[in-house]
Amino acid sequence: MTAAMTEAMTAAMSAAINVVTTPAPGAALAPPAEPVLSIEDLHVEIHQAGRISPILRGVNLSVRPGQIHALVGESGGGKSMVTKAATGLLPQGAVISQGRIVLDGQDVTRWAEPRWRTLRGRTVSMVLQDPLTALNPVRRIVAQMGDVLRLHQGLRGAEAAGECIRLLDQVQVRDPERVLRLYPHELSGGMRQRVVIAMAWACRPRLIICDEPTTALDVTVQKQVLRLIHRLAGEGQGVLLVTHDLGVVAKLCHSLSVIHGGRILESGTVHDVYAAPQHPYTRALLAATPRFDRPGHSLVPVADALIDQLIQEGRQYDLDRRVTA
Amino acid sequence: MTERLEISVWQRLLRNPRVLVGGGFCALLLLLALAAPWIAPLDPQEQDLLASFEAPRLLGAPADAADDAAHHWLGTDNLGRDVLSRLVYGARTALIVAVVAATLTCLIGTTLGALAGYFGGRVDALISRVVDVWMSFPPVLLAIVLVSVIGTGLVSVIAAIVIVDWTRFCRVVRAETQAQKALDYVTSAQLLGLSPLRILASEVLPNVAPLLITLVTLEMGVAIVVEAILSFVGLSVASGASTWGGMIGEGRLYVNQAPWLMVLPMAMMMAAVLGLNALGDGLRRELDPVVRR
Repeated sequence: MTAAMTEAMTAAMSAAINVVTTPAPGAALAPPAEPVLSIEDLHVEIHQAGRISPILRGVNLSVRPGQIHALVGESGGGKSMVTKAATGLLPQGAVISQGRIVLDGQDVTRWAEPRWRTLRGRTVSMVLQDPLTALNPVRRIVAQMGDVLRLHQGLRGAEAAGECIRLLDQVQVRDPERVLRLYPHELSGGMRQRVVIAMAWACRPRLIICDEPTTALDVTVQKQVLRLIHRLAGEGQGVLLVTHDLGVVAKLCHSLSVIHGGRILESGTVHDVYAAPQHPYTRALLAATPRFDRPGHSLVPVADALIDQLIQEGRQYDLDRRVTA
Repeated sequence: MTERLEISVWQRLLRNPRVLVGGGFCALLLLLALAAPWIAPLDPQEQDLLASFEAPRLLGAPADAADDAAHHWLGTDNLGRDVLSRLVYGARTALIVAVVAATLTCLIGTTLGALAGYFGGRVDALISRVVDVWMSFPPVLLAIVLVSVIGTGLVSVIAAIVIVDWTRFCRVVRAETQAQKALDYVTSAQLLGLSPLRILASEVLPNVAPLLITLVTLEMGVAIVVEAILSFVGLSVASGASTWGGMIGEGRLYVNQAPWLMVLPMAMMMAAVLGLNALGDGLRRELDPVVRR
């Protein structure tokens, strides 16, 4: 990718995000309501072929209703493992060895699969990264949405169809009657992601986890989807937004947690963290973010930036153990 | 928009020569089987010992027998039974065996394969081991042993085919279900709170269906061959009834005297199996990319 292209994209990105209304960090902090998701000192290990490898090593996180909380970090940092733990879909061999997960007031740490099913879709639901693969390729949209409505709300036939149309309308899908009859491959990426969001939203879950909901989308569509998520969060649900885009976090979220190597390194309101990042890794991440307001400023890969940071601070950096702070 | 898509799939199917030829053969077989009483010129069991070993008319019947042979287009066998009528009724047996055996095989194999592929772990280990052991038996030998144990007859033949061949479906469906399960739409369905059986039935199976259609057509061909083998060794339906395998077995005794008694049923069987295989192959080529696109 040429530098010009990168710059153009960055510009478009920032322009796109600027349209989203800033939630006025700090000011929006109403009296702290009971969190919809609270993860306390969560440790997860993978047991495989007699070996135990830790993947989460003490994660603390809480999402309050009506707020968008960002989970930020590099690939492999444990972001998706947190979302899997919070939805009870840890892969085979993964074991919660310590800590607890409280979802809407219920301690779900040791819940078995059938019990989890009573929560999914109703209390917690999730928007996956790639809307093309998140929808069943051989079923019409109406069948897929109808399943959810029938299961959780007992709606059938015309009632269900009406509710589908209302939901699609809410996520700003044009001509919902027609879209309902289509197959996923007949929709554009943005439309698909709206349908996925509508399905996740169908039963008004208390918590919605969005796992990089815009990564697979065009820049212009990203803006619309982010705006949609922001608007829906305004209706009182808690949103956990997993992303590695700090620009999005700055404009959209109330608070954030920085995860790396299976640990939460820093968390706080967006305002506080951006103004005065406490952890060197957070600083390195911020240094590795393209800045529209500082043209000509070259980007630094995270590891380099981190080492620079640490050298400046005169601390030893153990590459094997990463930052333990 | 959706109508257009469906039409294009049908059009593509109809443009594929394999589908056309295979489908044509199968349609013909179906017609023969369903309309056997009207198509067959004579009762297939009716014996006429005075008119035994008549050559097919097409080979040029002897002049003195012209008036009698008018009825026997494809000649007669050792008991003077009309070969054409027996072939037509044989199609009936072949089709019943093919359809019923393939359907049952598909049901059992798909159920077990889907469960193994979706749930993994102990369920998978158990089912997969059973399949491995099952497949280590020579299939035809197993079928013969089974039929000799449970007795002869159409039901036993079908049972033998199902018991031998469900592993074929089980393996393929297991692998495909595993592949589908790894896709996001299954995770998505789990996240929306759907139960595993429901996800299997309404999310995964429709995606496996094109594969099943193909497998079923191929299985029908296999069933016809296995039925013929069992008839040949005298383990199928009662010897009087018309089956292609039975005709081949009886014709073998007179192969020097009246070669058509063996050649004609063999040709019928080959045509049917080739037709089914061509259809299955054509369907696979046309249906697979639609899902995997």
